[in-house]
Amino acid sequence: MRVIECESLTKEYKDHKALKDVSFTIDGIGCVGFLGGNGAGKTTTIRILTGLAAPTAGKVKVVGYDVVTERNKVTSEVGYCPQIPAFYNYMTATEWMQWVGKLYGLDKRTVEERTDELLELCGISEARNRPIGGYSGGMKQRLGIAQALIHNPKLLVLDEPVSALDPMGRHDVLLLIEKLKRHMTVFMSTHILDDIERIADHIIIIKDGTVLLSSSLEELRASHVEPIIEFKLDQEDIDLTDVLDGLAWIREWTREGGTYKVFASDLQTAKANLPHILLESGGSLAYYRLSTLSLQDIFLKVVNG
Amino acid sequence: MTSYPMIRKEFQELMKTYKILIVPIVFIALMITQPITMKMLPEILANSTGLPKGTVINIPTPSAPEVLSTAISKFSSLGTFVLILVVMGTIAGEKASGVASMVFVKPVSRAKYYLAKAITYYTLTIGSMLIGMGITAYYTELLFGKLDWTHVWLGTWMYIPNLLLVVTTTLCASSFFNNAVGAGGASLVFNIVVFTVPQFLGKFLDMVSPGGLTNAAIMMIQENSTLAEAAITGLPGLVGVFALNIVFFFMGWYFLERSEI
Repeated sequence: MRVIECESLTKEYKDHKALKDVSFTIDGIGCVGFLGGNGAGKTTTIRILTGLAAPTAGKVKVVGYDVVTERNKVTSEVGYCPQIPAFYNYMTATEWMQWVGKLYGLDKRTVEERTDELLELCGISEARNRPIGGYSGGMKQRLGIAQALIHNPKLLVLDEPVSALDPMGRHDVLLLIEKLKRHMTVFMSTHILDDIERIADHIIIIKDGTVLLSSSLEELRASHVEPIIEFKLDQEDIDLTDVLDGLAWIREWTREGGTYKVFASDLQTAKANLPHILLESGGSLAYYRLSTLSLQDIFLKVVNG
Repeated sequence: MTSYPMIRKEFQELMKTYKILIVPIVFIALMITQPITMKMLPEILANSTGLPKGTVINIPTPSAPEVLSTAISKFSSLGTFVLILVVMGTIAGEKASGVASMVFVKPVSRAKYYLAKAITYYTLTIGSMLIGMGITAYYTELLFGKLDWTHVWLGTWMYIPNLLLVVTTTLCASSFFNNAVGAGGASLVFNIVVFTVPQFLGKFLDMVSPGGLTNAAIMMIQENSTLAEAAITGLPGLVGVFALNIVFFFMGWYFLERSEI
């Protein structure tokens, strides 16, 4: 099943172009990580996918329905939780869930069952009868996710779902998304690349309103297999610039804090010689390991061209 | 499918935010002060300081219809202000807080959302006005003598479209603006202009304006004319105010349909 189909999507505001000719497709169930820096166009794309904003040009189909001409059909199949979910503060979580259930046309019994199940699943059943106005940001985020699931949507859109959560809450929500992605498509934007690396099956990277990359995580890793030697010296004051720059089999290297990342053009030579060279420079190794590109490395590489 | 839960939610909100109590109480308070003041006026003047000794002030006791009609005219400006305060945030506030985006990602059309708000606030306004007028008229009758209740209710119903116009224009502004203060300010300016300026623009515009309708309602309550005469006097105003209500209702709907949430 084709869940999302964006074709030459453009969104213009008075003074700037938020999206420029964005095209991507998402098929089947799983988790899609939608990555990009601040102002890249993530939220604008999400607002169009959920029918909150209309594209200036281009076509968008969600679960087979056009988001502009068949908005009601789209909203019936999509669940959405924004970055900062807002509610009627005088309502309790139970009242909100039941009201939302009625908006989706669910019968009373189903609404009650789903409310119990989802509030329990999202960890806010104890606070269900308290007015939402008194909830913390994390509790609102959990309720936002719970209410987005009440009609069992085919597509769940989450905008920065763990941004307001403490480490425990973040862990719980990621576990929940891992469970959900077995039954539906979860489209989530986030800045936290470790989370995406853990749960996403497909990655889309957007920058300045343009999609730079849309690929499955497996394909992405396969196409960016690049051995890296990571090491750190006990003596952080030793400057290895001259040493590393002078080695022909090193294509590129970076230093973050005391940790060096060396991209070798000839890995075998690098593996055989680098430890000796480092020891000869007068330092002792705090650690030394062979690794591959992390999602963060790939993201930075793609975004920085 | 979704109209009923939307309307029900709006009424639930009126109850939980106590607007369902506050608005009728404020309406009663604004109107009932008039008969009380009129009744107490001779005593207030007699006890006031600064008048030369031996001053005699003769104030003829007004009739009950006269007192009630002044209650409406006194209520007009403050009542408008109260309604604007109550309605101004209903859409703009929800857009600003993000609740509107939570609603519009569900199968709720903007038309249903707008209609639910309009129905709720129209009902609140009509109910509050009828309660306020009923209690004020009853109290006026106790203090000043008999009233013709047919004139009272017809005059009230004739005046109500003016209050609905305040609700409609505030809803319209609330759809247009993304903050409640902007919506309230725009609505206040518009209502001041539309209620006061037409009287200076010729007889026709005065007759079809909200001000003309208020005058016709007062004429009906004062019982100086027959029901038919008062109704004919109020007809142009009714047509004009209904037309304005319809125009601003659809304008507000259009703004909401076009706005990016």
